[in-house]
Amino acid sequence: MEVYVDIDRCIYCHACEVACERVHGEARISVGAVEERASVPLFCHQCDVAPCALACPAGSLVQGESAVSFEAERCTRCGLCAIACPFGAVYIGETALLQKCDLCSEREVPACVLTCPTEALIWGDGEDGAKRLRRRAAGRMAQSCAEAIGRGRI
Amino acid sequence: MKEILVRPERCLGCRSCEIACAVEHSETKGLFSAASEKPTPRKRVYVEFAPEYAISVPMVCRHCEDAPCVSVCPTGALRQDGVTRIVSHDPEACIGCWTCASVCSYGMIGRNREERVAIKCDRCPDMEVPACAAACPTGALVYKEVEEFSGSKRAESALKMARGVAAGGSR
Amino acid sequence: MAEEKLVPTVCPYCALGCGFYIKLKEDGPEIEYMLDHPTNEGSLCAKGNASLEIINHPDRLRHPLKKIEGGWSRITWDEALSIVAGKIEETIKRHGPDALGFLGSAKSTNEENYLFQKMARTLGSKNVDCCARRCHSPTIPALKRAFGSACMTNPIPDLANSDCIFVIGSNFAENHPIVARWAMRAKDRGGRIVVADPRLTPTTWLADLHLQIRLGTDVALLNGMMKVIIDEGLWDRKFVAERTVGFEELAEMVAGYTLEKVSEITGAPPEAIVRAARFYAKSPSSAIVYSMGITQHSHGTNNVSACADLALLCGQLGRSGAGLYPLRGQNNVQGACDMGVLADFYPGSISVHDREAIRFVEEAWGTRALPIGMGMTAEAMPVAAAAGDLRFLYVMGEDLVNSDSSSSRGRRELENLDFMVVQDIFMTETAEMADLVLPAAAWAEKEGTFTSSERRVQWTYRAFHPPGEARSDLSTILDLADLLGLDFDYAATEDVLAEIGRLVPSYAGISKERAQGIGGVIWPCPHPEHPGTPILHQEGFSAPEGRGRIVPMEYLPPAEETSLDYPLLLTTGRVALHHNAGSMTRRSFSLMKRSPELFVEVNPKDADRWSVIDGDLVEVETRRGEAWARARVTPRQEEGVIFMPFHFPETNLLTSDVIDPEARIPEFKVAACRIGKMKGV
Repeated sequence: MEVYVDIDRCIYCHACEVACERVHGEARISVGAVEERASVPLFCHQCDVAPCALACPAGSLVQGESAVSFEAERCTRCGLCAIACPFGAVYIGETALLQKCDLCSEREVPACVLTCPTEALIWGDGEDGAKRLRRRAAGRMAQSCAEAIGRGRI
Repeated sequence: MKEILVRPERCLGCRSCEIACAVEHSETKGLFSAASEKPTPRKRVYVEFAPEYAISVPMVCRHCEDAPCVSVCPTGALRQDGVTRIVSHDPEACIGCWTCASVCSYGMIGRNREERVAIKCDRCPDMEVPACAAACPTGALVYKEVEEFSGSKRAESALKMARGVAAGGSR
Repeated sequence: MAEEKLVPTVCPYCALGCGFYIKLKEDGPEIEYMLDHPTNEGSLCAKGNASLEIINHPDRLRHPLKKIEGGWSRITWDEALSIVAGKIEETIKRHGPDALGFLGSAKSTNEENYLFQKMARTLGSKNVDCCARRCHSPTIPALKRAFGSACMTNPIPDLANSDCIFVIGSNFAENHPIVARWAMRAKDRGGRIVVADPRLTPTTWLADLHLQIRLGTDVALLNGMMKVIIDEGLWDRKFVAERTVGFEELAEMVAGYTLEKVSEITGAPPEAIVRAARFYAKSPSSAIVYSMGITQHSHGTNNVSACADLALLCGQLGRSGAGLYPLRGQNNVQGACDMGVLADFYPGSISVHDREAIRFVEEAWGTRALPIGMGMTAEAMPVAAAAGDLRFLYVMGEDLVNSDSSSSRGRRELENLDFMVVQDIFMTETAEMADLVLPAAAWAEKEGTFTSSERRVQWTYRAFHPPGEARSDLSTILDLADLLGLDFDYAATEDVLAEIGRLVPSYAGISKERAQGIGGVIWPCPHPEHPGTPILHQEGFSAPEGRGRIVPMEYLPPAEETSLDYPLLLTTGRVALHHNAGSMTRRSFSLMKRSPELFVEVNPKDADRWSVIDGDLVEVETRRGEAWARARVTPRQEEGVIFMPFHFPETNLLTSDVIDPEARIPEFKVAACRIGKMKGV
């Protein structure tokens, strides 16, 4: 299971940040605003071929089946992971060696997903995220098509 | 350049396009042999049904001008050809970060779990007409240049109007 | 081993009434999401997530304090209460009961607010009011006139059923984030969102059409839209004929609001006005969402009326997906208003001018004659203090010094009082000015009901003990009433709720048990078996003959204009991470971390002209005062307009004190100003 993003829904409210901070002591997710026009939640993508795991010299970032896990005992705080991550989603922590999303391993569903007012964060498998976007785009196309052929809403 | 254009009002929801796409992207390229391949060949086009209008919409990758998936890809696995505008995906360079899947508003990025990389439409480089458009029985998917497509729609409309004028009795 | 306990509660911040659980554990409390709450489905905005940060905060007031030379002296509750009772009696004897003023709290429970106004009026004072005066006070007379009742007509989740959501004067994405959840579901279904707002906000990001109108030009826009709708025959003929009065007058008046004229006034292009009108009128179900951008004006009541007119004209009321949504700001402002903590209403919307109905209240309370007539509003109280007409002020959970417009004048005026007692959870700037401070329990440290903006009455449980000697407002009021010889005999909180039910027909069927269910009960709930009424006006309006009244409004510009000395316009509002006057959020670590200081948003062209660089400290000055703020250069507002959030005390030093003639709300949204670099910096 992973966390996907529905960017159209992010309203830059910071709820995910505050929730994550509340649960973990430091936030592993942040929202970034883009030119006063949109906002995007930024967090670890649990890459399938993760650059941070490839870069880690101590083997403390471990590529898993569906997530990248962090083992604190081996961490030397070298910071290479933070440099390797293309999204800046790995932070050298203040209260811990490293702060990186662990999909709220102690919870059933990540706090950010539950708290997001607009359901911009999707807890799903495989293509759940893409599926939602597709369905919405299809709905819009169907609506225009329906209007063009004079068919009303059912 | 030719595009795959969509006329949802003609879509029956038969999913011939999905099957044809998966078969074309299989090893054996035959319908029955493809079905028993492991891993299962994956489609890159999707038929979505919108129940509120009772309309099926075939969703295909638009190979957008200035494609968002390309601009967001951190490794360059997704790249766009400057002339053909086709967005291609290189599994070797893909790190499975799924940022492309987040930014595509059409939800056209699929996921290859086994090889842990993205899957998307490649416009069937080995075929003259992409598999989906070739397979579509009703012409809901059409492989044409935009001008030609618009032209044929104009002709259809004009014909309807002409019939109306003729029926009015002045001809 | 200590058990973990889940205590259901309602968020103390805005009026959406989101539910969550406080999980009590050995190593400290936590928040658990309440997934089956109908309004928020478990989600919580940043403030909700941070709400526990104020519970054991070091700044919490813990003991009664008496003002002495150079500071405060800690006294006992007995002493404190007898001082207050003594001052009340003294004031009545010397100046009469109308020299007493009482400001209730939009954060106290219904039971507490009810007893507060009961105490005030039983003592003979007319002067009871609350912060709704500064917020949705225009909504009350305008919607009462239009529909017979003044409140949100449909529940928030019903927005998902709208095909068009017309948002005017609301930035819900920042300030009522859960509203965005349902608006997005509407969009998923092909719904369209049209937003009219002078600024670019996260709410406008969600819009399919954004009309960037000039400050305070809402009536012109609405009239222009209504003219288009009438001209193109898009209005609901059947609904207008069968369920409204006043169409002809409206049609006649809006005829003058041509697209050219409206475009000139509002700055919105004609085609956008037409599109907005068509979207709203033609959609099978349309909603209007509005908030402070409509109400906080010198013509706020007119603004609300125009919104109601649009809904009535198009028959977009009384069914799923079609409604009017005034988004209120505090967890119990709706309840405080229902309980009559208003200068113009007794509980249950009984007008202070209605002798007959007030007699009924007298009987219910077993008192002698209760005061009749309009009392002093929250804005009028400081003025009356300066004039010597108000001598004693009891402030319960309200930071009026910071939330009043033109606040330095308000401060000076309050200094003239003989005695002010403030009951609060923190030493706010208002409490600093008091003669006596009483420590109060926060929302999760007491029990009772809150009524959300959706008219949803929900029970909140006690999860914590109040710190130190702090007490619930209920306990304090009962003790004080006792000292004053008032016969307030209630064994438990639910007994107060039962009495409320006998006086307020909408609450008659709401018992503690019903309010305790997840999602509570939506009033009107006239008897115990009644399921509650999520959607209003389905059969008829509560106005005469069951018909809605369409009242045409001429456009009137805001009170202040720019001048050579004050060439810019200041508008104020809220941001996602803070709440109202900020006494709670400015003490919340995780919120302050992300939004630490007062800022001013300046358009790049204005920044150029006045040499403002992003990140500088700049001085903003109006005719009433000056304040410094951190400059943010952004195109969010058009040239000529600057924006400041009012969560920081300095902002209201600047705002205008011109008030709406009917609702008496100040024009927080428009003030002429100038901007310059901090001297010497």
